[in-house]
Amino acid sequence: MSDVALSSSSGIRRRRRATRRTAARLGTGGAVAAIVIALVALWQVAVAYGWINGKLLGSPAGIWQAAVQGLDGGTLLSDTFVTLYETVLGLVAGSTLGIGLGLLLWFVPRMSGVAEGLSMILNSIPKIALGPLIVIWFGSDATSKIWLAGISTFAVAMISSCAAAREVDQDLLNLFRSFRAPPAMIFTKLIVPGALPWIFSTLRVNIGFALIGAVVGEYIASQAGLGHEVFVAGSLFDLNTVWLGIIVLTLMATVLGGIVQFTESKVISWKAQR
Amino acid sequence: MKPLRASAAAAVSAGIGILIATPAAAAEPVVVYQAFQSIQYLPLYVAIDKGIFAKNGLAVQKVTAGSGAAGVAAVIGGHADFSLQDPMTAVLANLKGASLVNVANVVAGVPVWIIAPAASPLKQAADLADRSVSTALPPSTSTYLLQRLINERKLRNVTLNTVQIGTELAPVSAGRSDAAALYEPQVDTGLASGYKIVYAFPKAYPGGYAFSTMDTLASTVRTKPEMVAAFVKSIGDAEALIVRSPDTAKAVAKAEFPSLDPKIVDNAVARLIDQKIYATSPEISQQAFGNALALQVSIGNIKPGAVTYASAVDNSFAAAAMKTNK
Amino acid sequence: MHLPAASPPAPSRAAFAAASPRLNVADLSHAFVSADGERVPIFERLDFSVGSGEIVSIVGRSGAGKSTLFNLISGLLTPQAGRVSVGRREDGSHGRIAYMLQKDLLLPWRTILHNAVLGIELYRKVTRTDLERARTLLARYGLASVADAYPHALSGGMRQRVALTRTLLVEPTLVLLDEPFSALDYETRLALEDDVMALREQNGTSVVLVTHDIEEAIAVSDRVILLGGRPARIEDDIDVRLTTHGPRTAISAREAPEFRAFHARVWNGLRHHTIQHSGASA
Repeated sequence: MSDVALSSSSGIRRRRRATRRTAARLGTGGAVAAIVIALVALWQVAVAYGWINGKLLGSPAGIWQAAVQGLDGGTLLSDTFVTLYETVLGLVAGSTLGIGLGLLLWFVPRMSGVAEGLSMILNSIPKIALGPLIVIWFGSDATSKIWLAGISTFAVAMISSCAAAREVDQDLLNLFRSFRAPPAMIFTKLIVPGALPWIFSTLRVNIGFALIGAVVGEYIASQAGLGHEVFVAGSLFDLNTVWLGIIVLTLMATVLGGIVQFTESKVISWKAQR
Repeated sequence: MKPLRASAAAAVSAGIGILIATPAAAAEPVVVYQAFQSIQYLPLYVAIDKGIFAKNGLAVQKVTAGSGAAGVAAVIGGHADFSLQDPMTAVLANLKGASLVNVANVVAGVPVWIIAPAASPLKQAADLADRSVSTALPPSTSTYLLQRLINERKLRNVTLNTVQIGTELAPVSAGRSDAAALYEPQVDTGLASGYKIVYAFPKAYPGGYAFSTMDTLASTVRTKPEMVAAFVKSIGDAEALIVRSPDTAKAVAKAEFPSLDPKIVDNAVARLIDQKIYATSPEISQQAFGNALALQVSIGNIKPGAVTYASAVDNSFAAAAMKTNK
Repeated sequence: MHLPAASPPAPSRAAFAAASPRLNVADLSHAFVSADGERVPIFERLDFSVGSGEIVSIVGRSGAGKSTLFNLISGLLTPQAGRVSVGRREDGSHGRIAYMLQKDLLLPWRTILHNAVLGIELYRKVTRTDLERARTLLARYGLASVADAYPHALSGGMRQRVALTRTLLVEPTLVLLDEPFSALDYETRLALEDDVMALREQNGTSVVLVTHDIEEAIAVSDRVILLGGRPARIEDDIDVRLTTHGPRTAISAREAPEFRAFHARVWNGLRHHTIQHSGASA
């Protein structure tokens, strides 16, 4: 049948498109890397020629040295682990609770609206303002950072999941109802799978929020962590360490984002290639 | 009656005439960045609130930087003429290539105490072993002092619970720490709730301590020496006023900290005057500077020999101000 | 002259009705209450029935109430007055209506096979037999090779066939279709019309097709019901009898000599009543 022939040729077209896309992505990535390297080189040159005060403002060579020192007998690895731990726990706890609750509220639509409104209020509170309160309540160890990270991610996850559950296609919902499916079955077979794309995009966004929460917490009160190091180094005018902290935090966010992306591609393998 | 009024009128108009005649330099605008709004910085507030700067021809605007480093950065960046904080912050910046000089001493003693709740078994420094002490996040000098105390007395297993400056009492009242190392007015706030002093840092430093000073760019000293002189003189006048009239000092403090219990403000100011925390003169002596430097060296932030008194302090203005006052 | 062999005349309506009706709409009244409380009647005392193995099209202008009637019959809406009853099967068990829309409503995260058995899955456990039945049915529609693919890999026409499979696997006595082919290309549409007509032969399933495509209605149906007026009522109930070359298909039906005449009758019926009503409201 012509339809069968069509499906295999569309498969070939898809594979060709995928190869072209990978090549394009490598090209873009290469261009980005080239620009970054060029800027860093320019920076180092400016410091070497004295156009910029490298000691006060930091320099690529200084950052490298700070990195080497930090790894070799310094606290770079342990600080990274501390911040990573706080971020991941806050991210997972906040997102799981927010998504779970947001989706389950589909069963109680009237409460769903209320919960969404409350989450929006929670989200509007600047975490920097909330920080000192949290630290006083939960102390200055990892717990308060996890709470800060968790609160931001919870609010976002909640709002997003309530919306995702609500946005389900009415016709699909009617179809399920026409087959006399009980609400629990509609939830597990329609609402939850349909919300997965939303859930993953929420997770990606929440990585940033969790990281901010953890770092803000460390600025306010901490004994260890990348935010702590950045804060202390800043006050001692050690900008190389500040830059190093920023770079490691950025790398952390990128890696976490990559993990989420990878999981998404495995779980949502059915997503149509655009 | 008439001749008196006439001569009074003449005197007034003469006075006004003199005022108009003198090239009344419109008050020169000056910006000061303070690390925090702190009761330790009372000399600055007295100089502003009591018109001392104005009398010396300066219109001073005070800005709270949020941290010592931010204040120093403002001076380096040209947003501020002076900054008020730990002189070591300026020294650290100098080590990175800035050129700042400290010109006037404001806090000449160590305003740090370790206090514990009334019911606590802690009575002296040695009792801190195996305990938790809440203290401000570095680079607060209180924390460095605490660390040095622990090292010197070889106190074992003391946990530092570092929190935002000003909130050191919170972990103690929450039961998470056994004692707090802190500044005024939190000290007297604690004492008012029954806390007791476990260790007092003020006593230990002969020759004083350059705890918080005014610093400025070396270029400012070169290009605006009169302004710097007037500024340092005003600070000196304010410090003298505090010694002469503690009540004036307390009144200014209450106006600057309206949200604090006035009794606590009174007690804090009295303690700071009594313990000679407020500088009685803006001079920064070699010994005072050396004591402050020694702390940073012992902590490891500064290498020994990297900094000299001459490179970091310009005491000429302070000395001149003191001479005119004698 | 060589006359084309006429196909046997389609069984009369009476013959259909002799078996108990698959669907009976009796005295149906329904109104729409607007935002300002005004009650706009859509149907007033609508009556019709559909017999076993009968294909009935419901045509009408846009806004005539076809979609509302669809929702009332499928049970998505409860009528304010009157009854919609689904006839029992020959063995006495309950009849069942399954429906298909213009959207295929396939779940993108399920394979074609698991989409097909969705209807069954929602009311009982899916057995191996069900899966085999599903594969067979998919094969009949030429979808055997894509049974384990995902919907995004299929064309619109193929997806509608999967939807049809899903609809049929629950063994409905009546299949309700709401313009299911209007989004597809002409050739695919003709092929699917043949599939609909084949339903009657294979399982004796009745079909109610709601459509605005008059050609399609005439080509496929045994009866065409004209819906019109405000409130909507059955303006006409036309028995479609076509003489075709060989068996009746989507193409051969359109080539039948009577096709034009039926088309004109339906078309004029719709226009006439519309003009009448717009004249009345003028």
